[in-house]
Amino acid sequence: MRGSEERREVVLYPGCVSLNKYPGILKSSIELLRLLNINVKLPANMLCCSRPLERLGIIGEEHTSALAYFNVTKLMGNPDEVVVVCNGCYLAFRRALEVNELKKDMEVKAKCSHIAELVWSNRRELAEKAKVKLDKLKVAIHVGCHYLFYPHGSIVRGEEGEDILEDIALAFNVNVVDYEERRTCCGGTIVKWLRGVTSSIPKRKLESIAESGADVILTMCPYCLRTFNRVQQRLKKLKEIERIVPTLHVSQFAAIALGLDPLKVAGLHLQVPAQELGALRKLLTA
Amino acid sequence: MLIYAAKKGLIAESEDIWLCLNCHICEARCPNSVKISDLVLDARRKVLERRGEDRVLEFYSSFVRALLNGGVIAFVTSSKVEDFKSESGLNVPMLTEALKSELHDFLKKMNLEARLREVMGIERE
Repeated sequence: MRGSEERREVVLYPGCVSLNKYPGILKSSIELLRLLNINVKLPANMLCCSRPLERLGIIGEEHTSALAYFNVTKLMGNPDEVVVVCNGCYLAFRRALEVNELKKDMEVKAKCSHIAELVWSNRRELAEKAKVKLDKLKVAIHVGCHYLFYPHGSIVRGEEGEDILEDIALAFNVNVVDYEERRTCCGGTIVKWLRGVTSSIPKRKLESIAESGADVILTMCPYCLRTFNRVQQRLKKLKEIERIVPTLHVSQFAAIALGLDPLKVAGLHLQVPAQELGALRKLLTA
Repeated sequence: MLIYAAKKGLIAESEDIWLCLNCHICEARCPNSVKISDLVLDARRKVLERRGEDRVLEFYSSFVRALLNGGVIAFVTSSKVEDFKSESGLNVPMLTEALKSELHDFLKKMNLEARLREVMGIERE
C-alpha cells in the first residue's frame, strides 16, 4: 500500500451490468480502493464500453476503441489510470489504451487495470486485515474468458494457485474446489436467438460446479455473474437443479472478508435469491 | 485452412459463425496463433453488412438505439437496485443532451454513426 504523499488516483469505470444490475460490486470496489489508500472517482457520465456490440459483429474493433477514447477523454477527464470491474470492459479499454494506433492522435495517457489485479497485488496486506474467518467456505473459481484468455498481452497468472482468483482466495484461507469445466466459458456470450441450441454450455458448467460441492462461485466479471444467476434460476424453475450456487464478484468477496457489510456494501440481496441468502450469510459471518 | 476459408468468404456462408462464444479459448490453444475470434467477428460483420441475418438485428437493435440515445445498454429494472445506488452515491448520470451531441459528432468522425445506420438501418431518435 502506498504512502499518502503520493496518493494514487484512479477513475472507476462502472460498466453497464454492475452499475444497473449489481451495484454492490461497485460499492465494494470503492471501499477496497479506499482501504488501499487510492483516491477513486467515477466518470461524470456513463457510456457503455460497446464490447457487446463488437462481438455480435455490429461494430468493429476500431469503433470500440474510439468509444473508449471518448469515455476516457470526455467523461473521465483523461486520468492516469482507469480501473474496471468487468472482463468485457477490460478487453475494450486495455486493448484501446495499449494497442490501438488512434491513441497517439487522441493524447490519451491512461492505462487500464482490473480491480482483481489491484486486489491480487495487495492480497497479503488485505488478508492480514481480514475480520471474517472464511476457512470453511468452499469456492469454485471462474476467472472469465476475456481475462483468462485476453488475446492482446500478458495477464496476471497465478503464483500460489492456478490463476489470479485462486491466489486471492488462498490468501484469505478459503478452500478452492476444482471442477472439470473450470476453464470453459460461462456461456453468457451466446447469441440470444440460439439460446435453445446452446443452453447446454452454461448448464454443463453449472452442473460441474454443483458436483464439486462449492458453496459459492467466485468470479471477476459481472457479465458471467449475471449468466450464472439467470441460468440457475431458470434451471431451478424447470426443476433441473435442486440448489442455486450463489456467485460473488472478487470485490464483494474481499470486502466481506474485510468485515464490510454483506448487504449494505456488497449488496448481496440484489443478486442472491432470498432462499440462498440466509445460508450464505451464515457462511460469510463465521 | 481457416484463414483461406475466411479470405474466400466461406466462413460467412456458414451459420456456425453465430455459435462462436468469442471466448478466445481456441486461440490460446492454437499452435499457429491464428486469431480465430477476429476471423469469426469479421465474418459476422460481413453478413450483417449485406443484411443477411435479420434475427441479430431484430434482437439487438434496441442495444444500439440505447447506446446512441442514452449511453448504456443495461438498465435498472428493480427499485431495490435504484435505492441501493442512491444510498451509495452510485448514480452516474446518463449522457446529457450536450454530450450526446458531442458523441454523435465524434461517431461521425470515426464513421461509426454511418456504420450503425448502414447495418441497423436506424435513425437518431
